[in-house]
Amino acid sequence: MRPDPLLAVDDLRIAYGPVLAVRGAALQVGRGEVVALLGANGAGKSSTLRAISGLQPCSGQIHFDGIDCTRTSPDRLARAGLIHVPEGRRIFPTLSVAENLQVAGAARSRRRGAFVVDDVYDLFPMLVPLRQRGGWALSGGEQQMLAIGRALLGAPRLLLLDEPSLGLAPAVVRTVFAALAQISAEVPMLLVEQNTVVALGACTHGYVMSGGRIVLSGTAAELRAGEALLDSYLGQGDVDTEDAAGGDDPVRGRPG
Amino acid sequence: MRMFTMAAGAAVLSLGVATAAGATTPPAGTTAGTAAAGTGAAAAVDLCSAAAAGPITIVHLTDVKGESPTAIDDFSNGSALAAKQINEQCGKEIVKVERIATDFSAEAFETNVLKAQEMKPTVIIGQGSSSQMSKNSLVTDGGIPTLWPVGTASALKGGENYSELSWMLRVVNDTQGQVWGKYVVDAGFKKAWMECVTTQLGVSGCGAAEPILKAGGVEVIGRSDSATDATDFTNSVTTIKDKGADVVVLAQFPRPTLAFAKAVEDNGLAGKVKLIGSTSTELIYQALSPAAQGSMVALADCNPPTDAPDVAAAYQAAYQKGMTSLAAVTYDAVFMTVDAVAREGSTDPKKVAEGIASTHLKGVCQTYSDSGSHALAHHMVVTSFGGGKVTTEKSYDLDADGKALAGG
Amino acid sequence: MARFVALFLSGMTDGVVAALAAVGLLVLNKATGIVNFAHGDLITLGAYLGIWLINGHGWGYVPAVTVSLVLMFAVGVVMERVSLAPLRGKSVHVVVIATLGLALALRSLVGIWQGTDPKRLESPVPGRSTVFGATVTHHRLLIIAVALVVLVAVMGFFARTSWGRQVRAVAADRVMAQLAGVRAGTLSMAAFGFSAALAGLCGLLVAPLGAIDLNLGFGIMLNSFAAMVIGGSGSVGGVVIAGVGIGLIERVIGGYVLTDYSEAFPFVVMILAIALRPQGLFGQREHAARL
Ligand SMILES: Nc1ncnc2c1ncn2[C@@H]1O[C@H](COP(=O)(O)OP(=O)(O)O)[C@@H](O)[C@H]1O
Ligand SMILES: [Mg+2]
Repeated sequence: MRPDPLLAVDDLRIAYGPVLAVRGAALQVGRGEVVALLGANGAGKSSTLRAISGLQPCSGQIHFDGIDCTRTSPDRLARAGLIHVPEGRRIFPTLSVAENLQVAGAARSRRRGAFVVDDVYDLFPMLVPLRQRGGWALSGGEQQMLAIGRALLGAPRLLLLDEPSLGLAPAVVRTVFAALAQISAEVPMLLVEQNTVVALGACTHGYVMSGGRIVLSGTAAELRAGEALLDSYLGQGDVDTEDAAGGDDPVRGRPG
Repeated sequence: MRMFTMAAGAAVLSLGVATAAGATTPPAGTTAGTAAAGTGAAAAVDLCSAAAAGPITIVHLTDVKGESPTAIDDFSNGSALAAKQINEQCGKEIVKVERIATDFSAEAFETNVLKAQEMKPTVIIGQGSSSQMSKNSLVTDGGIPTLWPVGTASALKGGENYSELSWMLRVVNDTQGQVWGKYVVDAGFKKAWMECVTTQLGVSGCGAAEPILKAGGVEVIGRSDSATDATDFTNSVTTIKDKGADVVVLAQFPRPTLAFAKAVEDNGLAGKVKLIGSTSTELIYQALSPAAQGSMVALADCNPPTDAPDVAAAYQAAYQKGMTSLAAVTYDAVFMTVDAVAREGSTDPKKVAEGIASTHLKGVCQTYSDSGSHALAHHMVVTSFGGGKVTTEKSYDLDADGKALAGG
Repeated sequence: MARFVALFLSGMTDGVVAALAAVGLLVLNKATGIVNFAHGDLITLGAYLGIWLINGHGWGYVPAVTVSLVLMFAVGVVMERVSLAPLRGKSVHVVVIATLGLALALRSLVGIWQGTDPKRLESPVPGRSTVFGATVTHHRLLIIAVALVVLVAVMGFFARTSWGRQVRAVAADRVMAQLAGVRAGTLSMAAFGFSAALAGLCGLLVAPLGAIDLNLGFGIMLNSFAAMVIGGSGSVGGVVIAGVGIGLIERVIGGYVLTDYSEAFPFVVMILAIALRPQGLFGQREHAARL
């Protein structure tokens, strides 16, 4: 039995001109859940996240804790606690590490979050000596940690994470997911990943997207059990796209 | 005082314009005989009789912006007042002034002058920028006589911008330069600094002033050439202070003139060095502090409050500002047009052109006449601004061709 | 020595004014991506507001300047709302042309409102002193002092305050800033107001130096464009150094050599800077530019 949905997406459709990127997707994230959204490159995962955080015009219903996300600006949703860590991390290159974290104060607004600056530095100790370093001078792993830290200081009530493992060395992926495991005790997450193994290890529930549709869903255990089917979906997808390029650029990736 | 009878409130007949035969000083080089022959009459012509030749329309190209924005109002006020006075005096509409707003760009001028010609007016009054005269071939092609409230040597007969259908109502720049030089010599100054403007045409009159200064025994301690929008004159003023100049030929545009005068004042030189401004100074002297006003004189084509007090008073009443020489020349241009039509008895452009060529109009600013050079102005004044009003200090006559100081 | 002091002071005055104007342009450009060609006419408007209140209504300098700056802020905000917000998302060329249109409109409106005759504004500190034989008007010292204080305050604002950081975040990545909860739209509006107020301050400061007419701000804007390009159009500090630098080069070097061409110096330096270091003398690598 899943808890009450904090985020409910229904019949989501996204078109880029004539291209239908998402064709009627539905998913939910309940309080206390970590939900994985899996799928091959070009399946429509990032588009879905962008629609949820108000960046992407779409049709269908998206509700976050009673707020209609299709009619609310991204900055308002952020201030309501819906925090999106986008594909490519998007660290502010001209701001220092410390300043990148401080900007999150805008999203926190007058709310109280579960995390303070020291918690972020405890979670990611390697950021401590980098406090004064410019955002442009960070490695991919450092950027990912900073992006997650920045999101945490925005007092998230739901975290949207777009491929946090992308382009990171295995050791760094382990560090990041260890931190996400700790964070999930406090904040529910919607985790987009192509790396099925780490994602299924971290989530309570999962959806598989292909060609803009949700083709499979279930608990982490159910999805792990149907690994063959899962692989068949992750193998296909719209491979004509170049949009993963955004994720390849560790500095300034842009979604799809 | 110069004889002048065109004034609001005068009897209809006194609108008649005195011809050269009645003027106090016929222009040098023109004998009374030819002048009389040229006009065919020694007596005043009744301007109202021009009505018989049909409606007179004048298209006035009015500036909307430029380096001397303040001149814009003066130019258009002058022609408006003249038309109003003539029509009121004659009791019917004899002359109508249409306006086309234009700016200083050559493209705008081309379009607008063609537009003006299409309206088939009796005369076109050009705008107050001598750079537009580089397009004088349009005037020749269009066939409509055109009067310019400017003066530039290149549009004199024989010059590259000459047109047989265009006349200049104001003194040409080089002649202004000669007046600058002559005044400095006459007033007994010893050490001059020359502050000159560089325009697209490269003319400022400075070049013509310099030899006259040297010939008159005035030491030129230095010269600076700056743009029409120069704002800082620390360098010039420091040199003036170091070398002890007692006079500055300030051949600049309005705003730099003001900035220069301010710099002179700020450096404690007000009263120690005299500034001789260009013809635009009369437009802007009110923006100077009283001390700076006192240390400034300037060239002008005329000084209407002194030269034609009645007209200047009517102007003051109509526009709440003093009548400048710029207002006076467009005022005169309207009278010149109506006078030409009255004398020729026709509004045919060829006839009107003949009428202008043979004009001996005694206007507010000048007694206009053309000896063939197409320069109509033969007189210039130097004015001072002490006490917040414009006073004529000295006047200079030019030769009949408008190219040089008479006898100088 | 007297000559050098006089030239240095006039160069400093021009320089800090160009720097103030350039910082206004830069902040707006960073927060909104717009290059505002109406900046020069905003400078002019500031001067006329001062004249209107001080000469026209007999106000004291402090209240007149305060009210003028508040009005300028409002003008900037209205400008953004009325004419530029509707163009958000349009090509940058469209927006730049819109700012040119705004420039002409502003100039005409000021002309209609205040007339086209040049005006004069007395300095609040009319005296002068002699330093090393050079006459130094107190107003020039006032300009330098006020501009430097304001420039330091502006730099402090962007480096240290939360709003300053948010504007820099918007400048770096507008979408990401919104995802971090920054009200980018409101900041754009505020940046317009702030930039217009800085422009107004420039106009108020330079007005007593010479005469005020409708062309007052145009030349200042040209120098400030040069300062922005030379400074790397990324960093407030770089633009300030560039602004002061070109003022000094124009006046001090121009006071000794090629005097008649000194007005062109800023642009010669600008062209050299573009040729040698397209990122500006003080800009770092593209993504490392700092606001
Ligand atoms: N801005 C865009 N313009 C046009 N097509 C896009 C855009 N962004 C994504 N797409 C297309 O939409 C589809 C889904 O992309 P995306 O949501 O980025 O997938 P994923 O994140 O699952 O890799 C792809 O075919 C992609 O090419
Ligand atoms: Mg993606």
